[in-house]
Amino acid sequence: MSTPLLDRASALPQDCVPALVDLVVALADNKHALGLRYGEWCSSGPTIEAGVAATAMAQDELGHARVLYGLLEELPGAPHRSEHEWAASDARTAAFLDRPFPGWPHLIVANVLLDQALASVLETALLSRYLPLRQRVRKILEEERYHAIHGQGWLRQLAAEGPRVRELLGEAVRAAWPDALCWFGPADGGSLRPLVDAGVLREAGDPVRERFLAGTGPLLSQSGVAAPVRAEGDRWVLTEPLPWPVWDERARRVRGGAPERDTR
Amino acid sequence: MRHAPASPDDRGTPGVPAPAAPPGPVPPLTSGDVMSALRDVVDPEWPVSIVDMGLVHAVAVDGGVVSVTLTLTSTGCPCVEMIREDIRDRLRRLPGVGDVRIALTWDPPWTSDRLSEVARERFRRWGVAV
Repeated sequence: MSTPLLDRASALPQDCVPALVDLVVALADNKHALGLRYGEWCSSGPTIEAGVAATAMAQDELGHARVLYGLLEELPGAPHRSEHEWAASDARTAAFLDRPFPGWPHLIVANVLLDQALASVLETALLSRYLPLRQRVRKILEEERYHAIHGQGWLRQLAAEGPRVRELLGEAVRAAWPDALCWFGPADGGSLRPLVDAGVLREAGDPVRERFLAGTGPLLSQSGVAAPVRAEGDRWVLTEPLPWPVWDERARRVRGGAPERDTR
Repeated sequence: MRHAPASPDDRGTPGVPAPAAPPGPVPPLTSGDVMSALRDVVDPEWPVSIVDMGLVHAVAVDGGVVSVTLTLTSTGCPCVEMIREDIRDRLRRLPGVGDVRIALTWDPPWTSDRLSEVARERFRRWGVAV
């Protein structure tokens, strides 16, 4: 017998509502912030086509934020959020998005790491028991497929330009890495665990991180971009521990703010 | 409004207009009426109706309340409010409509499979691959 779907917030187990509110707020706020950051490159990408692509991705991300903010309307205890009332000071976003990207390589790293980390989390809700979430995820992921292709293509193209650009990419990867890789939660999923238990998410924590690394590890390695990940048999594993002591589960970001950037 | 054919005795005097027929009851609104009216609502980005674009998932009529379930080609569609307003404007002009409710859905997602043959033909004429 299949597990019944939960078609409204009142059908959710009470213990998973705060976790779902925190997750949706952080997903939507990050998407909103990504949309704004992509949008800053609408007319200043390295080529006209790059600017057009940044514009399209900005529009998508703002759309994803709008669609996800809609989920909050029926969740008890959820803060009010909308794309028209964006309060950056209250936003739960990755530190990498706190400031404008200093260059196109940073946008591409945000595209490859943060955007795709969020997509990996959303993928675990593709068959969610919580119908309002499930009904939104498929469309978002369809649009994200093109963001992934964009990021992978540009990362390879930039990396092929030489050691100086690869170094810049490596610096951006190092800055974005903690938030992107911690986003999936600690090994057992941490605060996302009740959502897995309730069938709202399929999985969290290590299984999602491993799948993400299986895609990102080979891309970075083959492009010659330094990152704390290596192949181990048929798996890709971290070469450095993630900063769990300073990871804020609720805000879903590493405490301490954005690292200073080298803007050479 | 259609009337039954007049009987020979009702034909009146040639050259003299027949008295106006008393207004009959307004037929109840149907989903078909609503879909027909929505064919007048054009996608703001392409001159194709939202019905032919495949944006209308469902319509329902309950007394004077019309409900439209709508999808969009992309989540970031900047024309969403314009489309909603055009739908409301058009449907409120239908007799008997008191309220128009529009719900957005993303499931199933829009794909070009939802374009009608009319829309496909127009896109082909404009050189747009579909």
